[in-house]
Amino acid sequence: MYGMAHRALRQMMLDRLGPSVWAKVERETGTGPADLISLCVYDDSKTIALISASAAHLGMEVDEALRVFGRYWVRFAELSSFGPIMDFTGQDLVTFINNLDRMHRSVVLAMPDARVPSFTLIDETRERLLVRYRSDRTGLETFVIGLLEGLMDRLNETGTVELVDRPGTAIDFAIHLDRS
Amino acid sequence: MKPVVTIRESQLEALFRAYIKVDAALVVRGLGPFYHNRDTAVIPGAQIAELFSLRHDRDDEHAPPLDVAIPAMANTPERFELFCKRKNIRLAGIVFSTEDGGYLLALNIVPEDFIIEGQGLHISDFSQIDASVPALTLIGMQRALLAEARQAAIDLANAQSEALELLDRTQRLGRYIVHDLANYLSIIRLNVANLARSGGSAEAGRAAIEAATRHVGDLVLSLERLTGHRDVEAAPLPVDQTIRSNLAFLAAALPADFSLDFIGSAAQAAVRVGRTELITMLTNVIVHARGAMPDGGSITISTYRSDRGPTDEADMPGEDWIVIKVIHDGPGIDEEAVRLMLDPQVLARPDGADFPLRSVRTWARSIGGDARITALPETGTDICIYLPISRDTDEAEPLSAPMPGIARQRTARTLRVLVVEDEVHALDAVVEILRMDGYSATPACNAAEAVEALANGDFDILLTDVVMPERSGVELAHEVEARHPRIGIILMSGYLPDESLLQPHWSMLRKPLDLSLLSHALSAAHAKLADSATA
Ligand code: HEM
Repeated sequence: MYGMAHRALRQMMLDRLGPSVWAKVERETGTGPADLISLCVYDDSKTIALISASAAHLGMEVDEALRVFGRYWVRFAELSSFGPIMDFTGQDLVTFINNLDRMHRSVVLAMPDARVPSFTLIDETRERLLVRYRSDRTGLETFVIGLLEGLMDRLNETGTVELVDRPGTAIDFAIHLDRS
Repeated sequence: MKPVVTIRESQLEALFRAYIKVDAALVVRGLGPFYHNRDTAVIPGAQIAELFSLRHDRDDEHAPPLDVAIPAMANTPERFELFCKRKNIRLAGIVFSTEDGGYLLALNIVPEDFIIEGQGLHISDFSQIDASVPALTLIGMQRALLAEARQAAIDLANAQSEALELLDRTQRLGRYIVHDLANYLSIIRLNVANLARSGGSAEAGRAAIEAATRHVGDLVLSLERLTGHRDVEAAPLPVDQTIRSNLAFLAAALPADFSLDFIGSAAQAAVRVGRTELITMLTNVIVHARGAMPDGGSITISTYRSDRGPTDEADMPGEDWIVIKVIHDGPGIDEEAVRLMLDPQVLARPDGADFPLRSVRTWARSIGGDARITALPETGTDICIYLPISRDTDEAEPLSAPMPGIARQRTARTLRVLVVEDEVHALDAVVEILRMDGYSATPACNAAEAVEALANGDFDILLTDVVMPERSGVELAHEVEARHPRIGIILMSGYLPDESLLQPHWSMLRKPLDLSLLSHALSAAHAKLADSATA
């Protein structure tokens, strides 16, 4: 996974547990500044090691930590120097999800080894968005739930996200919006 | 002309996000999604010529008006550019004529520049095939990476200066710890030597060694913490109780003409430090005070809580400090000395008189506090050590038993001392201690060796044991004084020899040796020598 994820994780751990715990995570996983370059693509095993070590310090299961991290990630991206790209992607949930693939496709033009997912809005009602997620990675379900929750936070929506189906290799998430 | 293809409204939107349909009178009749929620005034019924001008208008006064240009450019492959009069928006495309006699302006947005910020543009403002999206995104990424590189350079510089500072601090702390370790080591050596002698008090020696080794153990722990060898979190230590229970130990660092008082008003306040660190720090302060008061005097340690920290600025709310104040009524140090002491550029020398106070300040800072030293003209010196109070006092460590009295020395003179002692370990210990404290010490195992040493070199003081085989220390002292009348004589003995054999100006020390008394006797002998030299 790309270094921006590692940077975001570092920032989350710094916010939550302070520099000494992050230093331990770095020590435990043999991580240094060279693993924290935003647009460098690193082997997924590095990312997994970082997340599991962080989860242990947070006292969470890896899945729970992934979800918390996904939610945090969106806030990190908007506050980081990638904020303008987030703005460019959209200012409401439907537009944002519809534009996500175009944004990812543009971003990875400069990152040949990156493997970006695809998000398609397959059904939309006032109170429910059905999002189909396709990826050649597995095991990131709770991360995606966290990301979608983070997007709701960012775009002034409240609601819940639920994994509803696994058609073939895709995964469908329902976003239930608190709109009355 | 027969149409080549027919395209649907939704396809038109996808290809030309900013299209506009006008009728033959150039009144807007339909528009693409780009204008939604944008304050462009492009709405059905508006006159196109009031909303836009030809792009050339800005630099070309002769550009034709829209009602001429649109029919003229219709169905040509020529690029048609419009400039919005209300907003900074540029559109470009081509013009088609429609069957109803109107026109289709097939337009897309042209970014003013390729920076996302400030343009209010979104991905969905561009058609699916518009290369502006990857261009804007990639430039956005490049800018983000530049910002990251800039930040990385700043982080690197900060890390570098932190590393240098850490190295500096580690070296300084290391020097202090070595100095303290050497002190405790000499106490242990002396007492081991004393234990080896049958005359000494075994219980006092044992207790002193035990206390000193405990302190050494704690100092080793500090070293381990310093070197990152171990993650040691000190448990909160109640300051008042700790000082109170170690008062005897602290007082032992002072000769008899000093008094040491303690007024503890900090109640249960605790700090996260090791017991030995705290006691070693206080010993340093007291040793310094002693050095400043050659004629003795009184030293008072007091403690209190304060919500003001060592800096004069307002502190973070809730920040709480314990202040350990040491006041003495000696002549004190002058302001210049205080300034020099606190100047990090001035190097601390382990044999400098200010060394103890510098080490106190370094230590206080290492645990988040500080030390303030104020010279009180005429009346002495006021030393305030600020330590951050630990909030979780519940887990405070249990108190230790009171320490037995052991003195620590930290005087610095280059007196040449000839030490005569038949007990080898005791001889080593005394020589070692004197050297630690900056004296030049020469060992001799018996009177004969002493006489030989005197023939080969000059000495200021003869420090000799009394009971020795062959010739006694008293005999040696008489002989030496006869040949070298300027030498100072100090005798050491486990019992009091026959007074009639002694000279009144000789000093007499009881064994086991009390280091503070030894230091005192040496200073007194030194002073006497200086007096006789000026007389
Ligand atoms: C400025 C914002 C963003 C940038 C620059 C960005 C970039 C990237 C890149 C480069 C990857 C590929 C990582 C690799 O293969 O090494 C990636 C993966 C991913 N992105 Fe984004 N992204 C952004 C925002 C988002 C948002 C808002 C979401 C929310 C849904 C999202 C969801 C994902 C997911 C789930 C993956 C995981 C990869 C997978 O499933 O295979 N991204 N992103």
